[in-house]
Amino acid sequence: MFGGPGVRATVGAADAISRAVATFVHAARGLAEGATASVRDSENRAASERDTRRRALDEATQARQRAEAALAACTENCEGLQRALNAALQGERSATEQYNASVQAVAILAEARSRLTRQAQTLLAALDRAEPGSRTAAEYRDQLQGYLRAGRLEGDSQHGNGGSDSWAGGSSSGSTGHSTSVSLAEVVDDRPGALSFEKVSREQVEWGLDILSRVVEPALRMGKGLDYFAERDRAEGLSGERSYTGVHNWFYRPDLAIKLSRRPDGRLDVTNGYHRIRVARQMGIANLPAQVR
Amino acid sequence: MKLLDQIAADFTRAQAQLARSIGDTGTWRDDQRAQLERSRLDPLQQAANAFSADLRHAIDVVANAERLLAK
Repeated sequence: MFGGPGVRATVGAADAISRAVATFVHAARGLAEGATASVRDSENRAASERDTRRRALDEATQARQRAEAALAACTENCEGLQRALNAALQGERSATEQYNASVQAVAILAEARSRLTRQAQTLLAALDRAEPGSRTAAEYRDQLQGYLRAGRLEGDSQHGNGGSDSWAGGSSSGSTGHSTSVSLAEVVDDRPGALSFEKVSREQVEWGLDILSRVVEPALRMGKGLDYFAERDRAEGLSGERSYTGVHNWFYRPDLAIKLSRRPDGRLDVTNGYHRIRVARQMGIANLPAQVR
Repeated sequence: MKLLDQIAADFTRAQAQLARSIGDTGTWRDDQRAQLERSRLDPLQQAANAFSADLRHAIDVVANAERLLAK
C-alpha cells in the first residue's frame, strides 16, 4: 500500500501523461502532415524546374544541330559558323548539366518524401494507438483522485485520522462523510415489495457483495489499496464492474457508494443503495460500507 | 525550407515535453501501472524519434536539392 503523498504524486504524473499525450497527439498529427506536404511541394517545384530545363536542353540540342548542319554545308570562310557551333555545344553542355542537376534534385526529394511519408504513416498509427493510452492515464488519474477524495489513504494528511478507521471499525458513529462500515440492523428499508433490477442485475449485485466480503474488505483491513486490486485484476484478467477495482469503487467511490442519512431516532434512511442493502440482507451480510450524512 | 525547419523545431519541442512527462512515470509507485503506460507510450516515442530523424534527413535533402537547382 502506498500513502497519500505517493498517490498524489502518481495522480500528478498520470495527469501529466494524459495531457502530454493528448497535446503531443494533436500537435504531431499536424506537424507530420505539414512536413510531408512541405517536402512534396519541394519535390513538385523541383519537378517543374526539371521540365523547364528539359525544354531548354531540347532547344540547346536543336541549336547545336542547326549549327552543325550550317557548318557542314559551309565550303569557305566558315570560321563564324565554327564559333557558332562551339557556342551551341557549350550551351548544350551547360543545359545538360542543369537538367541533370534538376533530375538529381527530383530523385533525392522523391526518395526523402517517400521515406518521410512512410514514417509519418507509422507515426500517425502510433498516435492512434496512443490515444487510448492517454485516456487510460486520465481514467487512472480520475480513479486515484476519487480515491483521495474518499479519504482511503493510509497516512493521508487531509483526513488526519490516517483513514484506518474508514471501514474496518464496524461503527457508523463519528462519520465524516466518507464510507464507514454500517450495521444493516440500523438501516430502515422503507421500499415495499420486491425491487426491480434494471440498471444492475441481481446476479451482479450478489457477485459484487460476495467479492466485497471475501476479497475487498479483508484486503483493505490488511492495508491493501487500489493498486493491489488493480494488480489482481490484471493478473486474473478482470475489468469493468466485474473486477475487484470495480467492486471497490462501487462501495467506496463517493459517487457510487451507498448513501444513508441519520434519522432523529438514530436509525438510518437509504438515499442510494437499496438493491445492495436488500440483497446483502438476504445473503446474511451484517455490515456494509456506506456514506452516512 | 524555413517552414520545414519550423515544423522540425515544433516537433522537437513536442517530443521533449512528451519525454519529460513519460519520464515522470519513473516516480510512480504503482510500478506495474507505470510499466503498462510505458508499454503503450514507448512505441509512440520510438515512432516519433524515427519520424524526427527522417524529418532532419528531409531538411538536409531539401537544402541539397536547392543547391542543385541553383546551378
